[in-house]
Amino acid sequence: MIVHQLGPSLLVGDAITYDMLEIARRLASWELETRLFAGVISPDLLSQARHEAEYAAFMGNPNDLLFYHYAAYATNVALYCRSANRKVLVYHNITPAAYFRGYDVYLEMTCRSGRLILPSLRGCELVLADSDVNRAELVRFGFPAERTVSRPPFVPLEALAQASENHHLLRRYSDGFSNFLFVGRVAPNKAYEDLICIFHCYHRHINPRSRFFLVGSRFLPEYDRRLAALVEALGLQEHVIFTGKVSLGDLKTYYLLADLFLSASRHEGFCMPLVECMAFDVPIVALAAAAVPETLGEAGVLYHQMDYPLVAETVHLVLNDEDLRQRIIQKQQERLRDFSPGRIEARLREILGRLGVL
Amino acid sequence: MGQQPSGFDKLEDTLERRDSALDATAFRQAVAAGLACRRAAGAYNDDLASVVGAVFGEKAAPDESMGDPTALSELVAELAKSWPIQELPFVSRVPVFGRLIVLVRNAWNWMSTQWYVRPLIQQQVVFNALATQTIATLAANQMELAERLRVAEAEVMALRARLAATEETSHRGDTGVGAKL
Repeated sequence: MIVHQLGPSLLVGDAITYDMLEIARRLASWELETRLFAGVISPDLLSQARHEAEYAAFMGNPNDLLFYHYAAYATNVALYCRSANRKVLVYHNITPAAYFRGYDVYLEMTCRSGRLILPSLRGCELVLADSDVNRAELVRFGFPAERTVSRPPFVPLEALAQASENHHLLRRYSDGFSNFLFVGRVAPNKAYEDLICIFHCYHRHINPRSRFFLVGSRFLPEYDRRLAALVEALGLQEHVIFTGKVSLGDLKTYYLLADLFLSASRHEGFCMPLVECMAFDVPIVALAAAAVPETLGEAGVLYHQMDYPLVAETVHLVLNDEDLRQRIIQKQQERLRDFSPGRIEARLREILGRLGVL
Repeated sequence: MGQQPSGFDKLEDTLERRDSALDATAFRQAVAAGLACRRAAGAYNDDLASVVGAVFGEKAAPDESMGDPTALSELVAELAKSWPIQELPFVSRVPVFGRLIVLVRNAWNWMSTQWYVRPLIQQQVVFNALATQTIATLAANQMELAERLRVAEAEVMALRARLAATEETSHRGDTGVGAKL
C-alpha cells in the first residue's frame, strides 16, 4: 500500500505545503511508502514531489490511500473524484469568494467554485479539518459528522526556531518603539484597513513612538493600491511597513521584534501565525472571528466589535500592564503545547489507526 | 469596586479575556477609563469610517450565495472584456537606433512565432470566444429564470392570500348558517 498526497501546489513558505511535507515525513518514519503530487512545484521541492499528472498511474489501486489537500477549486479535483484509492479529504478551508470581488476575478471564481463543488467531494472515508470551525462547515455541506475529524496542521515551529535571525533588521528596529505585528497574505479577508485604522488611533492618540509591521505576500494590486492610499491619507507612511513575503529568518526576526500581534481577520480556517506568536511570547489581541477563538483556546485577548479607539486602548493596556502581559504570555505558552509537533503527530497516528493503516 | 466609567457596558460585549483566572471586570474598567480619559482630552474625534469609505467604498458583507444577478452580470462583463488575447507592441526608448531595434525585434517575433505560437494562440482565442458566448448565454438564461421565479413566487403569495381570504369568508358563512339552524 502507498499513501499518496495530492495538493494544489508545493511552494516554499506555504502552510499547506508545510503540512504535506510534515505528514510525508511522519509517514516515512512509520515505514509507510509515501508520494507527493501537486499541480505546481517550486524548484526547491522538485526532488520530493511529482507533477499531479503522474498520480494517474496510481489512482486505479483500491488498496492505496490518497490524502487530498483542498483549499480552493483546483483542476486536480478531477483526479480525486476519479481515483479508486481509499480517500481522505484534508480540508484547509476556502476564503469566501466575495472578499476577492473587485480585486481578482480568477481568485473569486476559484473560491466560489471550490465551495460550490464541496458536496461532490463527499465520496471519501474520512475528512480531516484544520479546526472545528472547518469541520462544522463540512457538516453543513452534507458531510456525515461521524466521518469528519479535527486535526490541527503542522506548524513550522522547529524550522522557525532554527532559522537565523536578520541582525540588520534587529538592530534597525530595536529602538524603543512599540512594534505591532500582523502576519498573513495581504488579502481583504484579513481586513488590513481595520488594522491600519486601529494603529492610527494608537499611534496618533496614545503613542507616536510606534510602528506596525505587516508581513505577508502581496498579490492583489488594486487592494495594495487602496491600502497605500489609506496609509497616505492617515499620514502613516513612515510607521506602517508592508514587508511583502519574507524569508523564514526574517519572519523569525519580526516575531522577535514584535511587542504585540494584532489581528482583525474576518476569516481564518486555523490561523497559523497565532501559534507562531505563542512560540515567540508575543501577546495576541485579535478579532473573534472564524477559527481564531478556537485556535487561541483560553489564551490572548479577543474583541467582538470593530471599535478602533477601544481596540487601541486594549492594545495599550496589554503593552503597558506588565502583570497582564506576562499572564497572557503564560496562557499562550500553555496553549502552545496543544500544537507541538509531537501532539499533532500523535493525532495523525491515531487517525491512521482509525483507517487501519497503522 | 468604584464607579464604572462610561461605556463600560459596551465593553462587556466587546472585550473578552479568555483566561478565566484573570479579573475581567478590572481589565474592562482599565480600558474604559483610558478611553474616557483620552476622549475627554479631545482624542479619537477623527472620522475614520469616512476615510476608509472614501478609499474602499461601501463594504458589503461577504455573501456566498450564487444567485446574485448583479455579481453575475459583472462577471460576464469582465469576461467579455478579457477574452481576446492582446499582442503587446514592442517599443524601444533607445535613441537613434530605437526604430531599427523595433524593426528587428518585430521581424524576429514574426519569424519565431508564425508557425508554432500563433496557431496555438488562435486556438485559444477561438476557445475563449466560444466559452465566453456560452457563459453569457447561460448567464442570461439564468437571470431570466431567476426573474420568472421571482414573479411566480409573488403570484403564489398573492394567490395564497386570496385563498386564505376566501376560506375565511366561507368559514364565516358556514358559522352563520349553523347559527341560524
